[in-house]
This record gives sequence, C-alpha cells and structure tokens, in this order.
Amino acid sequence: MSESQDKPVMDEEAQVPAFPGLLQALFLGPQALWTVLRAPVVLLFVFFCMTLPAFLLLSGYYENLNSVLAGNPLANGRGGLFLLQDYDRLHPGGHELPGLMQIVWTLMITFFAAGLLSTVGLGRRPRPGLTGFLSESGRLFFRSFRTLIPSLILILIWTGLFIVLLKPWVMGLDIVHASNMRAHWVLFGLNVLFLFGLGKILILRRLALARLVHTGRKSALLAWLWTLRYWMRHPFVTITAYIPLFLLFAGGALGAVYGLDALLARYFEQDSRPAYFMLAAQVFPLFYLAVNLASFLLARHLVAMDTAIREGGAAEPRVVFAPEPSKTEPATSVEKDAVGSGDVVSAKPAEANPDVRPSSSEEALAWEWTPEDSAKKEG
Amino acid sequence: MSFAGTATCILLYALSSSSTLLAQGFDRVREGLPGKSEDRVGYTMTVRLDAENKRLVGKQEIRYRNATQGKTRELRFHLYLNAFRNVRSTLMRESDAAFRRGYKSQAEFGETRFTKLQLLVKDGDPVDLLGGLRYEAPEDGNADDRTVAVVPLPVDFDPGTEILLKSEFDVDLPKAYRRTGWGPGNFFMMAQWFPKLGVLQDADAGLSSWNCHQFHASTEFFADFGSYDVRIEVPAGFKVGATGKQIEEGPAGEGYVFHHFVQKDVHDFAWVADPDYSVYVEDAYQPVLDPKVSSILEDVLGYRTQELALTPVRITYLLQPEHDRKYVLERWKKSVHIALDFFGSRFGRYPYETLTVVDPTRDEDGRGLGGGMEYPTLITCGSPRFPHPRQLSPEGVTVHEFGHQFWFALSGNNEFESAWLDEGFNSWSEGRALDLAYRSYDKKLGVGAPLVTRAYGPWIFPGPPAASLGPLPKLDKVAIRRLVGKAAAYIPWYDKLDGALGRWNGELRLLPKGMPELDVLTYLPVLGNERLMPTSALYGDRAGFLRAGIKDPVDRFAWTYADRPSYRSNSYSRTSTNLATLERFLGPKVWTPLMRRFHERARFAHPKPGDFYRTVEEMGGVEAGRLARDLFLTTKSLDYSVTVKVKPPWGEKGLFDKGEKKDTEVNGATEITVYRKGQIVVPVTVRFVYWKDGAPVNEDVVWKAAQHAPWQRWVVSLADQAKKGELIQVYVDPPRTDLEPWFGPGGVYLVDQNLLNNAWQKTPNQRPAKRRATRALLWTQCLSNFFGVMG
Ligand SMILES: [Zn+2]
Repeated sequence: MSESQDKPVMDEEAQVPAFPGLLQALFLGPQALWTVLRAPVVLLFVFFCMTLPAFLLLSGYYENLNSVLAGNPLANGRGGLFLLQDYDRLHPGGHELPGLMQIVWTLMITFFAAGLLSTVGLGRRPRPGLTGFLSESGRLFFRSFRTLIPSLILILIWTGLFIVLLKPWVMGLDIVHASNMRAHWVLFGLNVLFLFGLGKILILRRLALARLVHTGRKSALLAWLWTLRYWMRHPFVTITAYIPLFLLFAGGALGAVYGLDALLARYFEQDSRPAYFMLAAQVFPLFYLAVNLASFLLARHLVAMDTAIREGGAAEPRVVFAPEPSKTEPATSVEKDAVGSGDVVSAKPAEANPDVRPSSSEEALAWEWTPEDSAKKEG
Repeated sequence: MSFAGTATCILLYALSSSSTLLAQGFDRVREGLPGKSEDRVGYTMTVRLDAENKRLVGKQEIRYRNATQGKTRELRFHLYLNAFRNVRSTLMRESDAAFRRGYKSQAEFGETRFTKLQLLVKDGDPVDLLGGLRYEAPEDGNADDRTVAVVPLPVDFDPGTEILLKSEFDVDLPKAYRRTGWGPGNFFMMAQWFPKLGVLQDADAGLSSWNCHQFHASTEFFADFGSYDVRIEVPAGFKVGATGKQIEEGPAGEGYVFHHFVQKDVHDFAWVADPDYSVYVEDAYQPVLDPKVSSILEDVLGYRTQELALTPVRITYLLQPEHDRKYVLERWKKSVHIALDFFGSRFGRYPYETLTVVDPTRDEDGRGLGGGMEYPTLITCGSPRFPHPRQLSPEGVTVHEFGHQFWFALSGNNEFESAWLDEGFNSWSEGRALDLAYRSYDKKLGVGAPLVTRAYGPWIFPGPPAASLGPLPKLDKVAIRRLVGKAAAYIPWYDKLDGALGRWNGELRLLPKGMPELDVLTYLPVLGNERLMPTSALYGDRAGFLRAGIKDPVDRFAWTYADRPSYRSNSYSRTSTNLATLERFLGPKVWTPLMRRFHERARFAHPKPGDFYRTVEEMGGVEAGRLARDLFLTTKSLDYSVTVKVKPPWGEKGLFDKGEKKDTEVNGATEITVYRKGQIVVPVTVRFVYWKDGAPVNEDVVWKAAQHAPWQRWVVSLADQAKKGELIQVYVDPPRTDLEPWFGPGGVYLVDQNLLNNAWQKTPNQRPAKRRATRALLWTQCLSNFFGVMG
C-alpha cells in the first residue's frame, strides 16, 4: 500500500483513546474546522477548483449581458431592473444553469474529500504537499465514489418514503387534527425529522468514506455495514459532534449575510465597483467549503477512535492528537494514525512518540485528549 | 297543482321615487359618492353548522325585485357548492390536473341541494317550485355541472314587482381546496355556501333575462346589491367571523350558540368558524387622508376637505393560534391601516362599519385553505409561519384583498365577463399602495428601496426578488457550449439531462415542498450590489404580462381567454401595467381625479368596460381614450426603439469647383433613427443628451402620433455638436424622474415590449453587466457548495 511510503506518526504503544463523551464531542467539530483552516493551501486549491467552472460559465453570461447593457444608459439607472428582466426574457440563447455542472460539483467534492482525509486528516510527516494531496485524491477517488452511491440511494429512498408514505400517513391521523396547533407542531416535527434523516445519511456517508481511507480497504459495502454498526454504538456522541458544525454552518452564514449587508451596503450602490463586492463576498462560499470539508475530517477522527478501541486492543491506551512541529508543513494540526488500525496491507507496529504533548499556545488549540477528559466514556 | 289566482300572489311593489343616492347602473354624470345601493334583493337566513359531520342545514327567505323593463317566467340560482360534487363539474374541468388530483377521498367532495323551495303567496298557501327545478350549463353545456339551477315560475314576474321565496337547503361541505369548506383542525370557510339568485337584466322583446353564470375555475362573482340578515348557529366554543355587523349572540339549544349578522348594500355574504381562533378587535380605526391626493381632488374636482373625510371602521382579526403573536398581529394591522388610508384617500370612504380580517388555515401540504380571498367586509389573507420582514407577506395579500372592497365589493362589476375590472384595477392599486408604504425611499427623490433577496437555506441567492425575476439568471447556451466544448454534442442525452436538471434547478429548494414552517429560511436580507435599485410592483406586473405574451385582448369574458396564463396575465398583470402606463401618460393631476370619478360612478353600480374607456376619454382627452382602447380592447403591442450610427468625418477628397472647398468644414455626423415596431401609435419623447461645459444638457423632442411613419431619423452633425456639446446619450421614452415619487421608476410606456433597445450611449459602461454577473457568480458558487455537501 502506498501509505507505507509515508512515515506515519506513531503513538505510545498500546495507548488507545477512550471514545469521547458528549461534552467533549461538542468541541470536535470546531477543532476539525480549525484543522481545515490550518491547511490553507488545500482549502484554497479546492475552492479554486470549485469556483473555476462557475467563473467560466459566468464569463460567457457576462459577455452576452454586457453586449446588450454596456451601450444602454438605462441599465445603470433606477429602472435598470426592467432591462435585466427583458434580457432574461428575450435573450434567445437563454439557458438554465447547466445540469451537468451539478454533477461535476458533486464529484469534485467526492474526489477531494478522500484526498483530504488521507492527508490533512491523517498525521503524516512530512505532510504531502499539493501534489501529494492530488495524488491521494486520485488514488482514492473510486473508493470515495463507491461510498457515495449508497448515500445517494438512501437520500432518494428517505425522501420518497417521507413524502409519499410517512408524512401523508401521520398527517392523515385524526388525532393530529384535534387542534390547529397540534397539527402544526406535528408538521413541524415531521420537517425536523426529515432534515435529521437527511443529515444522518450525509454523516453516514462521511463515516463510511473515513473508514475506507482509515483502513485502506476497498469495499464500500463493508465500510457502510461497519458504519451502520458504528452508528449503533455511538449515535448520541456522533450527533452531538456534528451539531456544532451545523450550527457554525447555519449561524456563520446568517451572521455573514447580515454582516455583509451592513458593511458593504455602500458598494451596492449604482455605479459602484462590483469587484470589491465580489472579492468580499467570497467569504461565503469559502466558509461553506471549509465547514463541509471539516465535516469529513470530523468523521475521520470518530472513525479513528472507534477503530482504535475496537480493533486495537481492549486496554485503555492513550492516543493524543497533536500538531507535529514540522518545518515543511507548519500550519496544520496532525492526527496520529491509530494503533493497529486493521490496515492489513500497511499494518506497521505502532511506535511510541514521546513528543506528542503540545508545547506552545498555538498547539494548545489543537486536538488533545487525555484519559482524564475521556472519563465519561460512552457505554 | 293549480296556479289559479297566483297572479295576485306576486306582491306589487311601488318603486320609490328616484333618488340621486341610489345606484344600480354606472352613472355617467355622477359627482360624489352614492350613499347606498338600490337594494334589489334581501336574504334572511338561518344556518346551522354540524361540525362533526361537516354539514350545513339552512333556511332562507329571499325578497327579489324585478327592476328591469321586462318580465320573466323563471328564476335562476347559483348552487356553487355543487362545483365540488365530483371531478366532472365545470370548475374541476377548467382547473389543472394537479388540482383535481389533490382530492384524496370521497369525503373531500361535497354538494348542496334544496330540500324545499316555495313562492310565498299573499293570503294564500305557498306554491311549491321545487318540482320544476332543473340544472343548466349556459356556457359550456356540461351536463355534469350543477352550479346553475333553473326554476320555472307559475306566473310572470313583472317589472316593478317583488317576489318572496322561502327555501330550505342542506350542504355536505367539501374540503376547502378552493376556499369553501373545511380544513384541518376545526376550520370552516363558508363562501358561496347558500343558494343565491342570479342577476335579472334587461334584454330584448319585453323579456328580461338572468345573468347567472356557472362556477368557473377563475371567476365566481356577480350579484345584485342587497341586504343580508343571517343567523349562524355553531357548536359552542366556535368563534365566528362574517360579512357585516354582529348584532346579537346567545345560546341556540342542543349545545349550539347563534351569531346574528346584518349588512346592507353588499352583494355577497361569507363567514368562517373555528374554535381555535384568537380574536382581536380594533374598535374604531380612523383612516387618514393623504394630503397630496386630497389637494389634487380639491383643486381639480372642487371638493371641500370635509367632503373627503373618512369614517372609522371596526376591524376584527381572526388569527390562527400559530400566528397569535404580537409581531404578526401588528403587521396585519399596519397593512390594513395602510390599505384603508390609501383606498379611502383616493377612491372615497369605505362605507361599511366593519371589516373582518381572517387568517385561513393551511393543510399538511402547506396550501393556504381559504387563500387570499375577498368577500364584502370580510377578507382572508394568510401569513407564513414566521413572516420575514422583507417578505411582504402577509402585507401584500392583505392590501390586495382589502383593495377588493373597492374593486369588487363596492363596484360590483360582472367578474365573469370582465374580471380585469376588479382583479386588474385592484392589482394596480395594491402595487401602488405597497410601493408607497413599504419600499424605503431615497431621500433626494423619494424613491428607491432595498431588494428582497431570495436565498435557499444558508445558500444565498444574491439576486433580486424572486417575485419579479426567475430564481436563476439565464446562462448563455453559447457560453456553455464553449465550456463543455464539443463533448456535449457527442452525448446524446446531454440536452435532455441538462433540461431536466435545469428545470429542477429552476425551483431548487433545500426542502421539499410542503414545509411552510421552514420557508422563512428562504428569505434573507440583501446580498446584492444592486441594493439601491428600487423594488416596485411595476417590475413584477410588467414581467408577468410580457412573459405571458399577448394572446387575447384584455377586455374579454374570463372563461374565453386562450388559456389560463392568458386569463391570469390579462386579468392581473397586463391590466395593472396598462393602468400604470395610462397613469404615467396622464400624470397625477389628471389620473388621480379620473380614477376617483370612475370609482364614484362605479360604486354600487356594476360598471362595464365601456364606462371606463369613456371616463378616460372624458377626463383624460381623446388621445388617452384611444390609448386605453388600444391597450384593453386589442392585441396591439407597443415597442419603440432607437439605433444610432456615428459617422466619422469624411474629409474633403475629390473634385471641387473653385470656392466649393472649405477647409474649415466639419462634416461628420451622428444619425439617430427611432423605430415604432408595435402597432400602437402614441406620441413619444426622444431625448438627446449633450455634454456641454462639464455637464449633461437634455434636449427633448416629441415624435407625434400624427406622424404615422414607422421610423423617424435625426441627424446631428459635428457642426451642431460643436455648438451644443458632444452627443453622449439618446433615449426614446426617457425615464420620468418627475413621476417617480408618485408612480415609481421608468418612462411613460411601461407596456413597451423591449426596453433594451430604448437608449444609446457613446461610452460603454460595463458595470451593470458586471454587477449582475457578480450576483450570478455568487449564486453559482453557493450552488456548488450545495452539491458539495451531497458529494
Ligand atoms: Zn384579487
């Protein structure tokens, strides 16, 4: 296995982390986000790749729009919206955003997520650079793709079940309609349930991919089965770990929207310079992307810990995730490869690494578990 | 049965001496508001709601006067609840398939029937009329439609006489998909619920005929003004709202309570009942006059201020418990106040003492049952679960439905035959009221507003309001081809796939339909760089009209339009855009009094389209009258355009006689050609903008309607420009900044089919396209992240 060519960071022998408790789980998401932010090259590269198709598509749109609007003084006036409406209606080449791009974007993340899990999400020293990231992404793409398929099928099934069966059945019950308020709250609850189901499938897909990357195995089906068993073991901690990410995601978006609204209002005026606005507004997609990538890393950590516990021995070993001070890759926290990960191909004996405790304030922000923290082990 | 002596049973009725206060026909010379209607009909009814079995049992006494010149031997009734008997009724056939599919079980259908119908006889036994009852479908001959019942009379119903009828009827209520019936919880909306007479009108040969249309998918109202006295019995605990004023309530036995409502000068009666309602009452809201409008009315029509005074209204709000929050109630209140002020100031006081504002319920799919709908003194106007401040909901629907008190309840036009006279006039009024009240204004001009931005959950769509623009910017196919390259051409299903995904994408939602509680997520504030471009109702209306195209004249029977989009466009957005064009054509000093007078003459008077054209002609002049007829009676379109050719100096080459050659001559020129591409001929302003001494100087020329040429050319030579300044811009129908504070942005002719060709400038400006493309880019990026989460 090619992983063997990199030198994994090793832990103290026979130290396996206790699975974190609910309280600790709350911090895992933000820490994962921090890890992503500390790999700016990877983040920006993925961002660039996701944006490029949009940019190319929109450049054509811009050219056509400009050919119509540039010579018309009405376009910059107060009634300019009339012209945009006429453009949308009359432009003969008008075409909705190409569906093909939607597939391309889905696949892009499928591609990059695996590389991310294998590099940023896996302690390596020296950490592979962009080339390593890309080669890992390429090497693991088909595995990533195979774990994607069950999740897409599950999403379809869940949506279908929900809309065709569950919701009509529940809302058809007489008891639900005893009062308007009850009907409303039941409906509200159903909607939350739907979102929860959708979120759960997305989390399972991340766990399954993380398991494949973590173990180096190839069977997506086995990874999914493992993931389902994993979910039986740690449902609450996993949900708890993802809640802060979700809140960051939603709250960050809202905050950013309202913030930009207030801060950049003056750039929105007629005849303002769109470039400033465009640059400033890039915060949004960049933030979304970072949180999304963090959701993969979070899965990677959960899988690593569970795998270490289940397959790495019954003792109470200790694994510390800590940044590796490294001259080549200074800006990223690093995770240890778990002991006895079950990777048949690269099953190297774990080595002790005495140098794992963070020593600077910067490193203190990184991931760390000690047995004391793990006191509330999930039953 | 013997009809001997029945001639005497028709009660003779002495017509009251004609009074200027009475109204039944459009009065072309009336000045001022009529105080009351002619009161041709009276309904006294008692109805009991059996909530458990979803049934109504009713009794009615109807007084009807033949105010026509002729006699008749039959009566015609609307039995509109029968439109919900099964999927074969005309209403169901005309509705789209999705509507019919929405009915899930037998229990969701309903019907109504007379159980007794008698003609009352003075000093004699009542005569049964039920035996002769038959159903007719005058418009489409649909044998399955039972919405019009014809009842032969045993004797002539003579002009000037009055009859008394007594009936009993019962109703199995349908589910309230189209307003009438029951909803989830214990919601009951009672619209079109009782047997109701058609309108007896003058016809030829000494016979009068009934105007009594079937219940169509899009229109349902036309009736005589009259008096209603209705006693409603509901199970104890139900809260009731109804047309008119409640004068009494109390126990009715068997666990029922009664509510007694009366109202004069209305042409319909609706009510709602629901035990879950939270009831709020504003005892007497005093509407406020708009001083700008009043001063015009005083100047032009000679009103004295006290004649324009408005009267207080008792407003009842019936809120669903989920909307029983101070914030939501305040929003409803403000919008009702705005509407009372706006309509009262412009068209005359709201003459009724009460107004009931009903929040209808929604079913599990989020459909508002009861929707937004108008009935005399009662309106239904729903709200989202968590209304976002920039969403203008419930405000939009509230102002619209209130507006129908003027353009429907008070004017009482025949909705079947000219729906645009209420829906279109009301859409225009509603848009203006909302624009004035809710768009925040640029200090300098008094216009300008932030755009509402549509977003999808946290994925922001940095675009203009969804209402006026599609959710997606259209991308250029050529550009896509360039990007995807020739590869796409080799994928046989590329176009199909792309189209399918594109359509889905067109209404991309994070959440499947039917999650109204979470709809609030789709409204987030501005994320656009066109922030100060004003949002106005004009945009939505104009876009709606132009998108639908012109398939029919506006002025047409509602069920005879080419298709439903044509009905919608002509009745709502096209009429509204036409009226906006007329108001800009005439300006506030002519238009405001014109519409005031039209409403005065139309109040309690069943106006017809011709009445409107004549009023425009009378008060706005011949040219405006012609424009109005073109806009409403024809399928003619209007499109002016300008093309500009800059000819550089051509020098002095060639053979010249002595003295012919002048070294100083500057012989370049700019050629401006204005084309009239549409069939509507109206005068249009052409504006030349010169850059002189560091500032623009406008020169306006009017291209008169009399010049019927399809185009007109102006040549501005370099010599001219040396004097006037450099020609930098040309407009045909330039923006009317003077009208903006009144009517919003734009030139005069909002009906212009294409504004992209209405102006020219010498120096290109790329910023508008850049701003727009930036929004589209951001949206596309957000979309990429949405799919990234799936990935
Ligand atoms: Zn309406």
